[in-house]
Amino acid sequence: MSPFAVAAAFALLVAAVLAEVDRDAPRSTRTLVSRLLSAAAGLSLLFAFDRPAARTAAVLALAAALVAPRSLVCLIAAAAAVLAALRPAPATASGGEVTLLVAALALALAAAAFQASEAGAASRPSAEGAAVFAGAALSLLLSTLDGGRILRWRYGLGGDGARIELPGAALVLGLALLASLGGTLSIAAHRLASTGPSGRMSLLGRRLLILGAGLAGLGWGVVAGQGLGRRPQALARGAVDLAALLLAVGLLAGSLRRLLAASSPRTDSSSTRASRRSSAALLGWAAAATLVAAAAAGVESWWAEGSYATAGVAEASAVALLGLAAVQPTRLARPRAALFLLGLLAFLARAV
Amino acid sequence: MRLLASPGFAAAGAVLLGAALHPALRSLLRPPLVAVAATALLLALALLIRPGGPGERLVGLGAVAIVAALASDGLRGHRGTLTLEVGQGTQSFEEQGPEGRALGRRPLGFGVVLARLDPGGAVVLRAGDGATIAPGRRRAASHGGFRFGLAAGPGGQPSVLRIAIAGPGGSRMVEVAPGEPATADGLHVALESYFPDFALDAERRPYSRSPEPRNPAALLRVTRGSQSWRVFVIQAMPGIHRPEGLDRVLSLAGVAPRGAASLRVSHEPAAPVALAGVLLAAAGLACARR
Repeated sequence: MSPFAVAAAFALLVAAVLAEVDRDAPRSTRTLVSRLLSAAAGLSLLFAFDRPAARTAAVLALAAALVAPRSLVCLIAAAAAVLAALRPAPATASGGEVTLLVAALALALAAAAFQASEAGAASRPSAEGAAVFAGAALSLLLSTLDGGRILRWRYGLGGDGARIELPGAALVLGLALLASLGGTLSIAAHRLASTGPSGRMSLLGRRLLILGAGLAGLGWGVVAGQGLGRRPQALARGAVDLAALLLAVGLLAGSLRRLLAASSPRTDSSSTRASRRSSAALLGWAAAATLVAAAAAGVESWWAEGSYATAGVAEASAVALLGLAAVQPTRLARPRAALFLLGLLAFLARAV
Repeated sequence: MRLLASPGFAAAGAVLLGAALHPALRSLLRPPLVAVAATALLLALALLIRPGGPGERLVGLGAVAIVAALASDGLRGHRGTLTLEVGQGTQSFEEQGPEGRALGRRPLGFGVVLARLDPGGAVVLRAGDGATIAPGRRRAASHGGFRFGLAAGPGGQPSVLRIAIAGPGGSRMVEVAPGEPATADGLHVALESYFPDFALDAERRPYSRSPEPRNPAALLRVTRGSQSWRVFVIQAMPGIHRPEGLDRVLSLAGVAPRGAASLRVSHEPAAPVALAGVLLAAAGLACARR
């Protein structure tokens, strides 16, 4: 395990919390501390640069120090730092280094743009929609972890020869799945059935989602603690699970905070316009960076394999096209931006 | 025309084309090549004719350049594979069309002979004009307008491991390779993992320091009837691992490189145009009005 990556993951989580709090009540000290923590985490990750996930996390962390809003970028960088901390460096370079670095920069810009567009629509229906999306993502992730064994109240890390069973974690994560699924369905039912500002289903859904996020966070701690104590090799095999769980729990926690804070639609149209302009500018830069990443993938593939017609280039090009779709000035802007963000996340998750 | 120039058309076209190109979705959707090409062409036209500033114009020009380059390479370019044994020569390769369809043999325009295979997976070809073509791991080589890269995964062609099985009835030798198990003396021997340059990391996990066979070791799956064992063999320490219940001693006697190399051959003359188009579109996106 890399201590530099562990320290960076903690610093990025703290920076994400500070940046999230700073969005509603901006204070220059908090902004400065979250920027400094992100930059320090980025520099710390440079010491684990032989790990592909650390390179990605370093770019994300350094970009988080520069962009605003940055809580989502910090959270994604923290998940990448967890991956870097748990996974050892590969024996031989896998290639595609430049592509990864540019794609990580594009991901940071796209995440900041998505969050800026969210700030421009911070009303209760929007916050509820975000909570439903985050709750559904956590439920889907929990139900597919370890090949879907949580559905049978079982969970373990690693494969043949290096596997450990974690019955305690299975219980906590199973309960987290039930709570988050119940909460997601309750809020979704409330949104479909009612347009009023409150309702029993919505209240129940919020409480269940809070419980689900808490239990999933606790489950994360149990898995990490028991895995480290019993067999670090198995923990390395389950690094992607842990990184994804951290990201999903962080997303749900952030969306719940906004749901609890949102009481009435925002009326400050000048700040909404500024947020939209900032989001559009960031999204344009993200789409341009993704195109550069696709070009880098083509050049690296031509250099290494002799042709640009490879699966890696096709995947990078597909994400670049999603970026091109996201910047078009037309309807469904946020779903298109979310699709672009998911495409970039999937591309980087497969590559590291 | 107004529909073609609308941002909604461009957004929908880009999402559809992205889904058709993505390797994870392509196998599910199985989009026809004609539909993909038509979508790409319409998208490029939509980006070119839509109203906007210089940034939007650059995006449109870049998109047209990319589509033109891909179409040119699709029609005039060639991609395929070439498999040669050491000492064997050829003047053509097996051409592959879209979706990997075999198109028959295509002349290279010059002759090549596989001169030798290096232990690290590198391949040395000798061209008819005396030039040396030496593609290696993650490094293709150019000659006569063609690019030659190793077609196999990391390490090039996998090596063959010679395993000695010692038992009461004497010693037997078998050869195993990835996906190529062997049966001898009632035992079925399969290769699970091969470490050409075996070492243990800080967490005591095995890995290979390099692709060179300096300290070869392997993890074997040995089965006899319903019984199964995992046996670790290392060339430097014969017979070091003797699992309980297995009355044979397995040792790694040697590693022999394969006598043949499989190469990817490509001729993509419009690749620089495609690259320029992508960079042009990126520049256009970066400076477009928002």
